[in-house]
Amino acid sequence: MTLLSAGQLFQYAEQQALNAVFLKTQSPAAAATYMALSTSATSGVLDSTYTTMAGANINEYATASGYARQSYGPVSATAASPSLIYNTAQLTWGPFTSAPGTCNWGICCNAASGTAANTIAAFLLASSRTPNIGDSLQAAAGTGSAGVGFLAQV
Amino acid sequence: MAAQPGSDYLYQPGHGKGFGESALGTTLTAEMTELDLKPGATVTVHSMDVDTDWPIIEWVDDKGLGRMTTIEPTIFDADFTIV
Repeated sequence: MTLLSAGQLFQYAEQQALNAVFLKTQSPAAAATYMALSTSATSGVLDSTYTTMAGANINEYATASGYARQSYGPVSATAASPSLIYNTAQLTWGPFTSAPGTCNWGICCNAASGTAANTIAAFLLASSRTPNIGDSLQAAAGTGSAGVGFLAQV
Repeated sequence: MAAQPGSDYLYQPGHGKGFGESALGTTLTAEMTELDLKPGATVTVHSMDVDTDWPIIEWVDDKGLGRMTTIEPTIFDADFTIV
């Protein structure tokens, strides 16, 4: 298993990026991306070779809790090196109708639901969160230099 | 009536409570009340969850931020009215 670190791209996204920048293929068409929440442990569980949300240890929150993936809405990659991309606005999940468990990771993918969605990147939360029934769960907007929010760099 | 993706609905529960407040069964904290889906809110069905076939609604909270929430189908049928 190839373990994932915070902000790292999954294999699916690595291939997409490399094939695009080395002009092997056309870049994928512009489309929405979504942020999922995962209860996977902070280390030793998420595998960077996963290409879809069906990965054995993705451990996404259950739909039955009122949970849904949120639109990621990133900025355009910054004109800097390393180049950054991050969520433009605060993301909020819920309200939860049952306690969904403790989440440690945000996982960006390319569909609003379903395990067939391709995995793009994983983001370790600054601290784990365990929402209760009725709660909503908020994540800060990314601000690049401050390094908050869901921020990835290459 | 089953949820129709792309259509707008009004959240109008008979109990008159917010979505999260109703689930908890008692009053939410002030912070969570601000983030709750409240009666009278207009929502749009984004899509049906491809694994569960539950409706995923899009709505805007009191902070002006877009949200997506999955609704249990029997609750959707009871508490959401097409507009």
